[in-house]
Amino acid sequence: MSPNSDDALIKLNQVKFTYSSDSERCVLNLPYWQIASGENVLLIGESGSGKSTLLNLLSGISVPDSGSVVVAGQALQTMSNRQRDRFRAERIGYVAQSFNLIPYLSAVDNIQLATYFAHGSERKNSGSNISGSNKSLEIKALLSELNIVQEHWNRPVSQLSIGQQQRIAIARAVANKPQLIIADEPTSSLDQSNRDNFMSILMATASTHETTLVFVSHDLSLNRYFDRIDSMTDINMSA
Amino acid sequence: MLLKLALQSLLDRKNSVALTCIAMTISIFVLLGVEHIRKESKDSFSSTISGADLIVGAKSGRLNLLLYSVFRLGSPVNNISWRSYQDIAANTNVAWTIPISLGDSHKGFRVLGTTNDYFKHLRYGKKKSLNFNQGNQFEAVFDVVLGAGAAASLNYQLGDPVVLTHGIGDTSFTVHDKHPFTVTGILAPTGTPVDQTVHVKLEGIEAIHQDGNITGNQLQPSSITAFIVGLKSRIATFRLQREINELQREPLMAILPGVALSELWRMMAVFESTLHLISSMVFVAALLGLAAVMAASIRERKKESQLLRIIGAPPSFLFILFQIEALLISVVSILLASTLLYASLTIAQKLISTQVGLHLSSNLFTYNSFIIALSIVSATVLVAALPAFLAYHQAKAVK
Repeated sequence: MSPNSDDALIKLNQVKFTYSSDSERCVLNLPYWQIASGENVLLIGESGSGKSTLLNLLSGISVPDSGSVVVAGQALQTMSNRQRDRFRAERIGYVAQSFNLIPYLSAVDNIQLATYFAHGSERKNSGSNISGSNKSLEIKALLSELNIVQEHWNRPVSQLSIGQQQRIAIARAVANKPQLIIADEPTSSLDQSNRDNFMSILMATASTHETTLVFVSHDLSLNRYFDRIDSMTDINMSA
Repeated sequence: MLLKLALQSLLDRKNSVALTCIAMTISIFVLLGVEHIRKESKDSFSSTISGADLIVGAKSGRLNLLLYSVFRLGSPVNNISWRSYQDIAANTNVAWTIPISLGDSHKGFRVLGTTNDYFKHLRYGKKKSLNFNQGNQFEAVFDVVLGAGAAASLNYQLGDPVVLTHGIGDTSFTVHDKHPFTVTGILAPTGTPVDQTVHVKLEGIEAIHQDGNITGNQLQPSSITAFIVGLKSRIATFRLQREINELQREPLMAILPGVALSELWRMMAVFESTLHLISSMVFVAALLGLAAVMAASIRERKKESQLLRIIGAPPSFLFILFQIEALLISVVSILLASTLLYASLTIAQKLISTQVGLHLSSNLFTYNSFIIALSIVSATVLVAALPAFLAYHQAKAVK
């Protein structure tokens, strides 16, 4: 399980997870699951199939009861809580179904918040930090890249449309140049045209930033965007 | 970033935050105000007289004597005969005396009959003596020396004629307008009841009470209200006090100003601690209000907390965020309350000074109020810790 043995970004082995309140029922029993670096995976599953639990394990919010979760060469179950929080901030971009942004902050502030958690530690450890003005230039470039017009940059995001908010969420997710983007049904609150728009921007952004994408949905019509389609029922023995 | 997030989040919930702030401000205003007035009144009372060894008056309550002779509060029960005063003043241990004759007023200001020894020997604060801003001490029988506050309120200048009334109060039925007095001196401000006093010679007091012809001999006062004694050596204090208290000819009483003052504090202690209790309760209620508002907001913002966790915020970040929000509310409230208190004190200062004879400074930057502000901040941290810990726990609980 050495990180450099192959080009797998995600590698799960004999993972079992049970909610402590209901120890009889295993939510997740995942013998083996692997995703190569740069792969775009659509993960299909009904609610209750263990999707959210799997995503929590990948992002290090939860740890498995047994088995190993290796993401970007790091065995998450062996890290401390602090290390996992930092790992998540630095290596993982997350786009959720809704409430992706702090509503009273502007687009720029929301992205800055994400970079704050990722770079807060770097500043202490190494001198190679990106200067503040450089960082804000980067943020602005990212927002333009994602078709957010300049007059919306410094407005509270709650004043923007849902389509715009989801695009800013993509910008926030890639701002720290993560190796993995986790998208948890990000299109379910969007209408058809916004969904197509969102999908093409997300796929384009993921490919320009050379990021691996794990996209969870129950919408099979999205399959044309992905290299690989996995079903929860196939990988999770408990589902 | 943390501060920015806290500020923006508070601004986003303007209404509930503003209400919490108002509740906190009012309670801190009461707390600081009560403390300030308590301390200032104590200081003001204590600094009214210094350097005096004994105060002598007719037998009554010790506090009563102290209040009317020094603070011009209440009324004397009885007078002292001129002869007894002369006898005691002639005692070998006595360095100086200041006779005081009260009972008259001028446009609401107390008139005090005395001698030039008053200006020479009376001390206040840290043994400061009285100074003249304008003019001089008494020369003629109808000379008047005004306290700084009285002169300013009445708008009197040197040389102005003054008509004195018998009795206390603004409008007395018997107006002694036959003997116009003249302002010859105005004292510098002291922050004591001296400022609100109209000083005349003892003979002047006699003159307003005598109708008809005035000749030098007739103006010899037959009695005075009280007198202040300074001794050559403090060792003689208790002996002289006993001698005066046991005087057969006339029932007199001598008190030590310091002892009487501490008796006054003891009497006020119950009142003080009641005030203390009430203001603390008001503050505790406001703090609990703050905690309730915070707990509600933390529940409301569960999604926000989850989002912060997802983008990499450690649970401690949430704890600190909510603590900072509470602290901001508390600090803003302290600043608002202090400003409000400062403004109220500045406005009420003059009224309190003339009505009660208390000099309250509006200077809030004292060690005492700093300690109170510090305790408010620490109390906030303590109370906010509970809901903030709730947020911390909630963030951590996601398994």
